[in-house]
Amino acid sequence: MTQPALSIKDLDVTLGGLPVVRGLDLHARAGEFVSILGPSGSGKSTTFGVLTGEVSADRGDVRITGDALHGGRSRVAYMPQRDALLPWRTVLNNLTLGLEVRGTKRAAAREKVRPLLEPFGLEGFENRYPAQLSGGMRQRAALLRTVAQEQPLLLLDEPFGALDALTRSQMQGWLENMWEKYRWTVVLITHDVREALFLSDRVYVFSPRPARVAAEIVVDFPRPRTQALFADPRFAALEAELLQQLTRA
Amino acid sequence: MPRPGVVLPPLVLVALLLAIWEIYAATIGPGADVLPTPSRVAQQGWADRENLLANTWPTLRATVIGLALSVAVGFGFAVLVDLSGLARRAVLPVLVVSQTLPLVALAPLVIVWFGFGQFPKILLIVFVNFFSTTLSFVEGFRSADPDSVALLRSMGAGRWRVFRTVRLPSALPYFMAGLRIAITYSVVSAIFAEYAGAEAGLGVYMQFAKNTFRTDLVLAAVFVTASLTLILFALSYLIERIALPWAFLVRAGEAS
Repeated sequence: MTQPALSIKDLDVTLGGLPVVRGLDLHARAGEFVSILGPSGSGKSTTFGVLTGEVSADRGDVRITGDALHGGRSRVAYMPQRDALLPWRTVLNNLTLGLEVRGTKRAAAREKVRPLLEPFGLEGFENRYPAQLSGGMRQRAALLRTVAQEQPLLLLDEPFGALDALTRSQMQGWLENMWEKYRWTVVLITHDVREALFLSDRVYVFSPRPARVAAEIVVDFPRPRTQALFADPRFAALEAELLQQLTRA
Repeated sequence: MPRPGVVLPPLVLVALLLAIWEIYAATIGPGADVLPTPSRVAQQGWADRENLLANTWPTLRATVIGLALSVAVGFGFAVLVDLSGLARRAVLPVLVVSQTLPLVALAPLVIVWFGFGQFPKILLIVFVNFFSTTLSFVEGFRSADPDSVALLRSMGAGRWRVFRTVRLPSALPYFMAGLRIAITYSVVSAIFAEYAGAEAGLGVYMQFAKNTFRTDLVLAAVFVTASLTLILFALSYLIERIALPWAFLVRAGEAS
């Protein structure tokens, strides 16, 4: 049997004397889209912090494709809440940033990124500055920068949180399409129950701080999924169940 | 380019003030020796242009060298402060105290110590400016987006990489703002140092003109000083436009 892309067992994190995560168990199989839903300040971003190396855990076993986290190179590609595109780099130079930091020469990094411009709808914009892009394009650029790093695990921290409602639902549809095509292993943090259901294979509901998994829900709607899914009564039932879990948690 | 709506009102105001001055000085004023008309200032300044220009170069040179050194020293201090908490605690209070020393008393002393050449002028300019250039860099480094820093860390970037890729570029617009403040102070402190004692320069020229009761030439030198400052100011915008084209885009995006 193959190793899960991500496995977290019995994770404890304390920040400034405050227990933020206690006994967290979570996993993601290769090619799986997993979402984490939870109340604000429930330790979702802290869990990502452990995976990116920003936060150190008290204890727990964290493995990415079977290998322990600590030491060594970063093996996750992280997308922060805001796009965090560097305003002084052109779009193309923003896209190659992760590869460059990980040691690829700029010219080689560009060759890797170029074929992705078209599917990400950024062709013709590679020499613009981020300030010249729309909100949706910036988010697509940020996602491209994330996947271009070619890591076994993508961590998306509320990627669409700052977008207006219309752009947001367009981006959700777009991400669904892209995921169908590339089948990345994704862990997504979101506040949006419908977003989690629409995109995920599985959804974890976190308890209020200290975080542990309060509920785990398998979402087995067939793919490709479209906006029509929102009208499915089973979707509404799951949404109601998740909302209930969230308020109870 | 700035729009006419931005440029025109101050120009009209300046023209109006000059006209009032001209009429006052030519009619009921205290006389040309005490308060010359602007037209006389322009005329006499032009007549003495060779001398005026010869004294402008030393001031300009001291200003530019002083500015460059202020930026270099400020950058050095700011990097130190940014990288080390101990340096921050040690350096910042000393910087603040350095700004409480009275320049009026210090300038003649610096001349006594280092003579009448370029060096004491430059030293004084650096002394006046390195505080503001240091602070503008420090503030600029701090303005770096925490998300961008976290992003680079997640890619496995070390401290130096984060500094070079995120913190330093973030600081550049702040640095340009600091540079503009430094420009105005630099010209003024160069003139001041020359007033306290120097071989040549606009300050020396002003003092000489004053001592020979040539108020028109004093004012002509004042005009040259102001022009010098404005030219350096305009130059700083030009440099920013060329070196940081993205900064204008970001600002325009925030304004819209």
